[in-house]
Amino acid sequence: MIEIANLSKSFNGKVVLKNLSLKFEDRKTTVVLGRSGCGKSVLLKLILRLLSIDSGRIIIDNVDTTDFSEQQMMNVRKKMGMLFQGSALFDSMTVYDNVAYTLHEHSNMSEENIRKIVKEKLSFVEMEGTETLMPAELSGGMQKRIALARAMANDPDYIFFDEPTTGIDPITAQTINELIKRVQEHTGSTVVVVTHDLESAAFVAQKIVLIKDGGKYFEGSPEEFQKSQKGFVRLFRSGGKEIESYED
Amino acid sequence: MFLTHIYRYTKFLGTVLRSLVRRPYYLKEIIEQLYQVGYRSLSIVSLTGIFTGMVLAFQTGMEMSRFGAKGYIGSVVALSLVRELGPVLTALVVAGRVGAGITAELGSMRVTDQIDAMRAMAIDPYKKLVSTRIISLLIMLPVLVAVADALGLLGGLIIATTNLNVGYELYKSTVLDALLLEDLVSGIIKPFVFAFVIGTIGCYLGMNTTGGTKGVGSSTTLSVVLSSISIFILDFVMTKIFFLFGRPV
Repeated sequence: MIEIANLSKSFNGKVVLKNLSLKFEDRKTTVVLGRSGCGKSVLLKLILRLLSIDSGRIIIDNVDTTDFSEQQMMNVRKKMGMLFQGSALFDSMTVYDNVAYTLHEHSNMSEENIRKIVKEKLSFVEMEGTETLMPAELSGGMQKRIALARAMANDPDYIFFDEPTTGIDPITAQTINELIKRVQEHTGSTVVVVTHDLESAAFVAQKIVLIKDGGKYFEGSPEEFQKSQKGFVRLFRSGGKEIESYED
Repeated sequence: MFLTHIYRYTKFLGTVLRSLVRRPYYLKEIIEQLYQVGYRSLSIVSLTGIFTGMVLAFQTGMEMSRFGAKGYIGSVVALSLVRELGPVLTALVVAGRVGAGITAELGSMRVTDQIDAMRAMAIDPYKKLVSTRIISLLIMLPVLVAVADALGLLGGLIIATTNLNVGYELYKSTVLDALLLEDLVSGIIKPFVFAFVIGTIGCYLGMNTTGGTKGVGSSTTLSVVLSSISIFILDFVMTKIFFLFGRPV
């Protein structure tokens, strides 16, 4: 489980997260919703400590990692996989090398075993036979799927998705949503998805957190989110159309 | 702004120095970088060396002929090349070819989140990307300078024998008479320092690139400019130090 307590982060005086507290429960898919620029992606980067924390605590599997050094964080990160918004595939490497990267770095497996795992992960994301292709030869949706295969390569306990459906067509987006759901069911990993895509959230979420002004505005099940009468929830749900009734 | 960069560069150097001694050593990547830095720079460095030697011999040889001193052309070419032109020109060429390439590559990786992806996969980019490139430069630049020196002396020999009527034996003996052990030592120390500067500036700017493709372009240009300026300044400082430690004028 990941527990976040009073987390704050600013960039050049601009407050992005302010005293944010929430929990990501084990083996559940939590979707973090919020407007663009509200700090959703920053939250993931803080958990992975790709960014430094201004104040607050981050506790992962009952271990307070807040003051961990970069080297200590390396061991924590081995339990995690992340799908970046732009996929962030290594563009000088083939699909095979991208997916096998973690295994080459952190395991003593034979190349034959690595090949088997890569094949299995590519099959999971329905991208068999693409091993020799370069990322530039793939569409945006295909790149996301390869990035997911890479994130899953070492069977992490936690998988983070940063805007997984942004910038792709609705049909491909639905394929990605189905994959996210399947990842959680298949691996039992704890999944965190940050997005502003309500359809995606409704499809994959077991719990929804809505962030506003750097803090937690709403936390509950997808059903509770749909029924909530809180002003910003209604505004967000309606895509900004209920702006006149928004009073928060 | 300037002080912020100095602070961040110093911090970067600390991280790099720590990563140089920490496992794993990524031998495969170092070999790949040795090829990229060394072998792939060989042609341009060779051309620079041989033509510098030729033009140096031609220009000075013509002037020396007027005073009947063209027999010493070997000494002039050897001293100029081994002490100054070889290390400086080779370093400038490598700063333009390799240093800029490092900044552009790391900068592109930075702005497309590939560096963060590497960190998220529990891989230290300072170890994997930065230290391997700096080690390769530290190994290969002295070698490239030696190649440039050797070819420069050869270029001088070609001009001496074909244009100045100076024989091979005379050229060889004046070259060997002029060069001292200190020259060879400075010929190794200078490229070693230049390699560290080119590598650390190139990697620092690449790893701190922001602002998309425009930022990559700016960082790459800055990398060549800063490396070149640093090479000229450090060359002067090191030359002064070598003379203070007793090298004959």
